[in-house]
Amino acid sequence: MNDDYKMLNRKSITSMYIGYAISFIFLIIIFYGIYYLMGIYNNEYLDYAKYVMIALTFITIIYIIIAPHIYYRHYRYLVTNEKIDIRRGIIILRRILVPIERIHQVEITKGPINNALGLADIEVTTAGGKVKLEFLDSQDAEQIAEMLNEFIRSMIKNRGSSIEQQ
Amino acid sequence: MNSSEGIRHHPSIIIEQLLGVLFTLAILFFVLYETTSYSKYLFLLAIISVIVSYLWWKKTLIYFEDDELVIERNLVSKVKKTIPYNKIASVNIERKILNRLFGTSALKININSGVNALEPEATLVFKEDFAVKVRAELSAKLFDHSYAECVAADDVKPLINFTFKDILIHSIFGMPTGQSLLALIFLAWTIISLFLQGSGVMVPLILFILTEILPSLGGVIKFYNFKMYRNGDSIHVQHGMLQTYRSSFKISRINAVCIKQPFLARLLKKSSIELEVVGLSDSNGKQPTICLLANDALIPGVMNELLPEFIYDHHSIKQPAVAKYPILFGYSLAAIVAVLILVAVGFISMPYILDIGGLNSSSSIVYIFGLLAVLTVASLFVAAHQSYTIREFDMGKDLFTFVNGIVDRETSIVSYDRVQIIETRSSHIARHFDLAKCKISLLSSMGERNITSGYFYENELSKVSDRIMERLRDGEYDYRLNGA
Repeated sequence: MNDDYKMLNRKSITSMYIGYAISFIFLIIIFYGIYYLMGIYNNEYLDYAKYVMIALTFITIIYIIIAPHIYYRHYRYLVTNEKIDIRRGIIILRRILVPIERIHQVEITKGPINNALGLADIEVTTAGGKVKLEFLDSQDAEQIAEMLNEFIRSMIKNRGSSIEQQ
Repeated sequence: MNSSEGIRHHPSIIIEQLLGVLFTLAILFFVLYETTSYSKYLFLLAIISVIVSYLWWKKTLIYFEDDELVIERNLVSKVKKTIPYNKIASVNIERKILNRLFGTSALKININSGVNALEPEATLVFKEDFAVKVRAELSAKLFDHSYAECVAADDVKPLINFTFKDILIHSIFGMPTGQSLLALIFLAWTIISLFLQGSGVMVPLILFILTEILPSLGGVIKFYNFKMYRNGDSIHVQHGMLQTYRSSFKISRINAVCIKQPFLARLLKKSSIELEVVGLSDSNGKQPTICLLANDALIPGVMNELLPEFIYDHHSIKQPAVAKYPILFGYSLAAIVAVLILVAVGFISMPYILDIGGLNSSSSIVYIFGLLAVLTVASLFVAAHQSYTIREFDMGKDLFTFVNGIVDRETSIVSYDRVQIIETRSSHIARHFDLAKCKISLLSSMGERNITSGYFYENELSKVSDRIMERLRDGEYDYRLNGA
């Protein structure tokens, strides 16, 4: 793999853990809600439901413990003046490539967790969809977004001047 | 066509807009008439709706400037929409029943944008002859051929004459196989119910009508009098029985060409051609068809005449033998999940089935669910085999091709320059054999569309992204032709 590829900040693991923990709380509330409703209606499969929910909770906990570390280890990104190249994944590894020429819009987003940890996401929009560069250092994110915006601006300017020349 | 004074929509647009509102209010009136005293307020609402619609019509002005179309509305707030002619991807004419009654046509103007891919950027309603004139003049600006050529378009001899029989065949055999199979099951259910019980026919019959008869009838109405031809660098398509649909677009606006061969059509050795052109999806979100099901032997000729830009020497690659392993693994997982679901459903539904009395012993239920499980697993393994044999991949200088499908074969020919995002993905088992799948995202008739390849060696698939970048680097990519 190209050495120029960058890894994420280690704080991304903390951000993922907090995000997963919040999702997990919602999951437990949903499980408990289903179990409670089944109890109200004296559902005969209450015991089976309980075992299924315990099994699912156990699998989710294991995933939550392991996933952020694997995601962090697999995540690599490269931004050049030609393309954005991202490698990421947990079980299925993906390599996502976006030619800079296809980018219409660049957006920086900082959720409350990422903001507290000094992290930010960059979302680039093309005519065929959006791609996210996640858990970047806020400063890095600002620099990358500025660089991408500069590329887009100069591209539009060059095209404008070439049309005028014609 | 330059109009310094604004033009208004045809007044029939007021009725068109009000129809739905007044119909809803009328229903509410009949429902509430006897029970409450609020029904009189519905009259007030109806009057307000009429006034608002009238003012909307009165205050909306359309200007055809030298380089742009401007739509201005000065109602509660001032709205000004400007559409430069060079951004327009297609101009279509639609004639619904109401348009026919009032002698009008709706001009649908689409720009090449993913945001507005489903809805036209502007819909203008004019008297039919004026709409045809506007469309012809816009076409002349967009497609570089004269107004006279457009007016005479109806007289142009189409490439293939589709008879009523061809349209009927397309409507029946062009359906996805899943839908045809479902209709066949409902038909069998209807026949069995009729002969064995003599009752309970209505439900399966209605389901059969909904899955087969109505869509086929819809197809016949939609594709009636189907004509397509090429004029210069633009393609014209016209069809429709109750609603005439005319569409024109530049070749450069085509993002991909899809040759479709549903299973039943393959048996008849027939294929149809659909295109990905922004703004041209129909109300069901389907891609525009430029060639109904025609004999496979005719398709190269149609491609040659209509879309020579999408022809190249194919040297297709089949999935390598080792691709069987990740495919088999995926389908085995699906089979395990399907069997587990069937076991759970069988277990939960057993007391209810015994209660209803359809079957008199639990062993019969076990046999039936067992049979269902065996059939499901067998179909999944047939699907795995088909998935392995059908998928192909092919690269040319300007275009590449993905062949996909399990029962319905779809060949997508895509220009490198239209690909927006490239994603290669591999599971652990695929990585073991250096295999990956490639998903490309492009702007489509319906907004964004993804096309995914089968399993091929990763180094082969990465050539697609390499080629895209190479074209950008070497200046082969022309943004003026491809700007979205």
